[in-house]
Amino acid sequence: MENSVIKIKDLKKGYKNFELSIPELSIPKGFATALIGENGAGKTTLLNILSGIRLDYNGEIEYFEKYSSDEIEKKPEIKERIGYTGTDNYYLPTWTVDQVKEISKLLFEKFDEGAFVKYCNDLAIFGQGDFDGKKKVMELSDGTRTKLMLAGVLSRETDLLIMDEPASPLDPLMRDKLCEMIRDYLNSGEGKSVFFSTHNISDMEGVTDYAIIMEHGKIVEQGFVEDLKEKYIAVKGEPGDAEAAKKILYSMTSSNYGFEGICLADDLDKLAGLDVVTETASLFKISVAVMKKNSLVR
Amino acid sequence: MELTGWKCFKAFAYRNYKIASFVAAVIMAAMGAIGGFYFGSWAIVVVGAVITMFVGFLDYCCISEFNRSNRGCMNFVRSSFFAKSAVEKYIKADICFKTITLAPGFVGCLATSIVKGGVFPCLTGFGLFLGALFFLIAFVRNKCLSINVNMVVLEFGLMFATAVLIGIMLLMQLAEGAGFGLMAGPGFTVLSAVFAIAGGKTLYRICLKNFEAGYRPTENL
Repeated sequence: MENSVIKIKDLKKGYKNFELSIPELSIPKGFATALIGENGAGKTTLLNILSGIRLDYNGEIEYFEKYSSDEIEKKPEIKERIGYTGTDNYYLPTWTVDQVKEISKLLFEKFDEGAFVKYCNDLAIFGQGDFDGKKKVMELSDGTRTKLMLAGVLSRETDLLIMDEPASPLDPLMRDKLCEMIRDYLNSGEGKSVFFSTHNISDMEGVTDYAIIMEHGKIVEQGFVEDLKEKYIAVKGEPGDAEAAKKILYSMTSSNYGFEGICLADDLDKLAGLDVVTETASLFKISVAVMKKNSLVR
Repeated sequence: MELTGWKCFKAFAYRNYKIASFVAAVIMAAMGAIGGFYFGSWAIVVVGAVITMFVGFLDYCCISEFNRSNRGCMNFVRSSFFAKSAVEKYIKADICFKTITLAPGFVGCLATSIVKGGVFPCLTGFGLFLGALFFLIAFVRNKCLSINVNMVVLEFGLMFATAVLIGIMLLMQLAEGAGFGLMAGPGFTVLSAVFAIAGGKTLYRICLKNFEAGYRPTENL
């Protein structure tokens, strides 16, 4: 793929009963890419490796079509251009919001204090009140701590956001706001990219341009969302045809009223003779179908 | 923003524990000095041992507290290019802080020593206490990257044993007619300074190694 913000080659990271193994992967530049997978698929490990938090792996990674992974500890510009948020709150609970601001300034050269205050107010971190720097992180709810992390990372000048399950602790309104912020970030400059993980793509489908589906440490499907929606079709039919359709469909749910499932568009002709209706599948249903097909869960 | 030791110390030190450590050390040092004047060298030795244990205990509390939120916070720090530099500066500043925290005890001992006679025993004692503290903390941190209840017992046991040993040595120096006059000599003072510096360097290396291990953790799932 041309214009990649990150290129991976022969990435391997082993655990006792698990191996993250990615022979080749390119994350497109200028888009929001979702990394979808069930719990334990290896999403967090991959994101931690790409953001330079973990260095215990084999393989090559190229950043911004320019830097190799060997240079990530030698050149400040690589990590300066990457904004990372984790699954858990990553500020010490005893820190105040002012301290979060100070420490972010200490660790990141292009951290904008004014932007941080603005994001904190826009995200209503202090409720209806104004910026309160003396508020401690431990006094904030889980969702608010996530908002604080977002405020911190968006206040830096970066070219790539790597976000691990950013929507998980957020309420529906805030998830919508998060999608809006990601869009604004992508539009704020040329070549800006976002790479986020999720195990529930339905919340982030509106902002996803490219999807990568992982299962048990391997990439099992990937592509631009429009292409995936052409590759996979949602199929609905009568209860009587469920048995025949089961052999073709990737995943299927059935009831007394009928069945529905996902199949490859190329396999549609195999359903000839059955009374079925097709429609465009959502990314959520496509990813569930692909994960089910590749899952170890019985 | 320029990374200085003080800024890094302010950022990452658990403030409450550090303040408690210093205030308690000052109070106990004063008690030790007063006790020494009235009750003799035993009081100074006991107080010195208690200060060492207390500083070590509060350091353990800091680490326990930090480990509870460690993974997330360390990921935040490691996402910065300046992570290693910031942590190095923090560790050095923290070692300086521990030295300063024991200093009130040293001043108390020194005052009493001057009155009772003999500066060198006091300097020797200070160096031994400091070195023992640093080696103990380094040992415990090396073993205790995550919270382990047994380590509490081990740490206290080791600290207490070392403090008692040092206390006995100091007592022998300070006690009148003990017959260990040579121990009061400048040679032992220099050795204790070497011991303290070696302890500090070991603690620095262990702390940095623990931080770097996060980049390449040993997983055994």
